[in-house]
Amino acid sequence: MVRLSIRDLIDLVASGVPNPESRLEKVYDWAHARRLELVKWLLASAVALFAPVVVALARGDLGQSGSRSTWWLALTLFGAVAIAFWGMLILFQTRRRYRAYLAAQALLGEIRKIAPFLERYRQELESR
Amino acid sequence: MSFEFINSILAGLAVGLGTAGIQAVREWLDARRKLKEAEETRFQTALASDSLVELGGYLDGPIGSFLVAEYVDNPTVKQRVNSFLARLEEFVGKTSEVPQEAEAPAALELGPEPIRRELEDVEIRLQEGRPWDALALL
Repeated sequence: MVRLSIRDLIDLVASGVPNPESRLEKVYDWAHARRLELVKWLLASAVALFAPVVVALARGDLGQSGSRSTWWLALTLFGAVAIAFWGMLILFQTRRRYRAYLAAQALLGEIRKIAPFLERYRQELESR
Repeated sequence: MSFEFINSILAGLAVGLGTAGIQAVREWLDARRKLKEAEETRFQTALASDSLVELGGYLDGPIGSFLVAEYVDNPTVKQRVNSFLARLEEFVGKTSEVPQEAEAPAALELGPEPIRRELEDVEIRLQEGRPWDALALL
């Protein structure tokens, strides 16, 4: 997850690096790829946990209610659902991240307009 | 037996929802705290100020501490950041006119044009069979 603050964008512009938009795009691209990879791993883990439960149900290998094996299966099912929910939540949050990316690009454009101010302000601070 | 499974599924969902809820509340509280720091009176004072240090200090402090995600989600944060950036644009308005004036000489890059014309004259003289004239022109 990219926890980018407005100060980060200000520093990016004030540093005078060429083409800050493409650098910002790279940061979000990298974060997006990492998030998708995480979602894949989480969903795969959920399926891996869920599969033995389905097999046990199909074979009728479940013990009596309250027995140890049943509790283990219940715990596995709980883990599978929790992990799958987590994965799906991250996936649905992608839309929000996309909006944040667009806003960051728009803010970067606005901050670039005040680049002369930033330069003068930094010079003023250094001269003190 | 199936009751335990349903319980597990519900508990899994509850844990997921609970975690997401806690995360959302934390983000909301964080944005609220930052808004409190960027209190309205200080914001109005900074907006009305013509001091470079005061404007820069407010930009580096309360405005800079907002996350881009908070800017997207919270309309108050968005309005405050936009107003302040507009004020700063107004502050640097005069300096932004300077590059436009400075660009004018750059547009007058007519250096190669007369040279090309002179070379054309030389070429014409060479084609007319007057190499000495062409050489003299060079």
